[in-house]
Amino acid sequence: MKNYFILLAFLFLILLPFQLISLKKESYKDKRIRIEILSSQPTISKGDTLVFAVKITLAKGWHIYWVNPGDAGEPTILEISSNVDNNKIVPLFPVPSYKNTASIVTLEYHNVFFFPFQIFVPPSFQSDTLAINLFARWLVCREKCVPGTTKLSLKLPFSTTLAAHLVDEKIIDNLKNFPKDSLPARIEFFEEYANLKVHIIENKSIQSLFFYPITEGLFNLEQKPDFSFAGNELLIKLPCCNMFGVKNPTSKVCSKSFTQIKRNNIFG
Amino acid sequence: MFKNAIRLFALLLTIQFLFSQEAKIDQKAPDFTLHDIVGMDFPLSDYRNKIVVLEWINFDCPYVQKHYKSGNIPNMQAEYTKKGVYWFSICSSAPGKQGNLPVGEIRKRIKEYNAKMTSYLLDEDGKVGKMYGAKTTPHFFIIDKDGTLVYSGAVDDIASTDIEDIKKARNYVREVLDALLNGEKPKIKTTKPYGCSVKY
Repeated sequence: MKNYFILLAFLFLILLPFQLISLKKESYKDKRIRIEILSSQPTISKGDTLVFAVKITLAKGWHIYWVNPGDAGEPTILEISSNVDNNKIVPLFPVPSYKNTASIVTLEYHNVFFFPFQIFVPPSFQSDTLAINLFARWLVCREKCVPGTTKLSLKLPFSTTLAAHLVDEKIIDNLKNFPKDSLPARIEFFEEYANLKVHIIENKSIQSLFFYPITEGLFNLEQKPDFSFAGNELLIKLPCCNMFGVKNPTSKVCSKSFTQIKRNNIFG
Repeated sequence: MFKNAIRLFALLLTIQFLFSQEAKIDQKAPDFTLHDIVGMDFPLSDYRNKIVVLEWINFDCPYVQKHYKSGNIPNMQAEYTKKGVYWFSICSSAPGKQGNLPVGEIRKRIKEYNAKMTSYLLDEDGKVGKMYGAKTTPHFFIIDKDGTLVYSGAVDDIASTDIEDIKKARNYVREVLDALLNGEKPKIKTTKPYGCSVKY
């Protein structure tokens, strides 16, 4: 009997590393949210720039928030890394829906959304598999708000056809609806307002422009901005400049804020 | 005789139940559900395995204003929520009492102070405030990942409304949160809270 227990304990210790490996999940699912890492291509090869996406599926009525949630909620955080290099990748965030509840603005995702990202695999890459890791943190709300975090890990072999559940060709279709990283733009500050001039790229009309400053308090968004066109420039006159109650912010503060706006807040 | 014994037993059980709902250091933090300014419910039980800060707040209280106008509390909110801490600011001011603000005004103050709490929760009937024994604004309660209440007390050790004192003060909330984030047991468990009385 004693030997039997020793044998069991021995087997448990031998198998423990395999159990731990199997604990690394490829997807996360609870009754409110499902999170997966998917490939846009059925076969992945070295020497290619590969397109993947974090697919988030929300149960009916539930929502999560954009990187800037607005007046309530928590930002959704998606951080990706791979075995190709040590770089952290932040995927593209699609345009969220704008919700105004009694003047409380929130920026939300409902239903299904893709958060795409690219990985370039050099031809000289040594490994036989591409490993992608995701850390995700979110607050999912309907009548109540529930926080969540997960770590996912996906291992994809090169040059073999991937399992069907790991591939979604809709990722590429969705890319065309994505906000541009930044549009060429400049800003001029005046005492009571700022002019944001966005250069419209030839033959490309702006379908929608989404603007929500990360540095709160700089622009007075209680007043709607004025939009006008001058040649190939879109002029947005923003009521401003109020940094925590202090008028005429220093150019340093403004330029910092504008950098953030350029990086995160202008979509065309 | 037997009936009286049963009555006494029932009374003791009731008393034990009532007391078990009170927040006590080193014991499980009592559960509650409060809603935010949008009307979303935040059940504490959904924040298991997370570090949670409960901060009693009243934006009209000069002690609260000291820590918000200086950026002291908003900076902590921004720093620690990025590190995975959930920070709930709870207002237990009864309707008509100081600090019970309309939603638009709450939103305005949050923007004005650049506050970064996870959520501003409303406790108008004061049930949660009384359950936790919140006495002042601000008054902090910190819950560890096991759901145990590990700290109750002040934000720091200088009980004043002077912003200049913040630099000189020992920040208890930072000490507790840093310890928890490092996987250590906080060295302090209770301090005397200071501020305005909660307007129940």
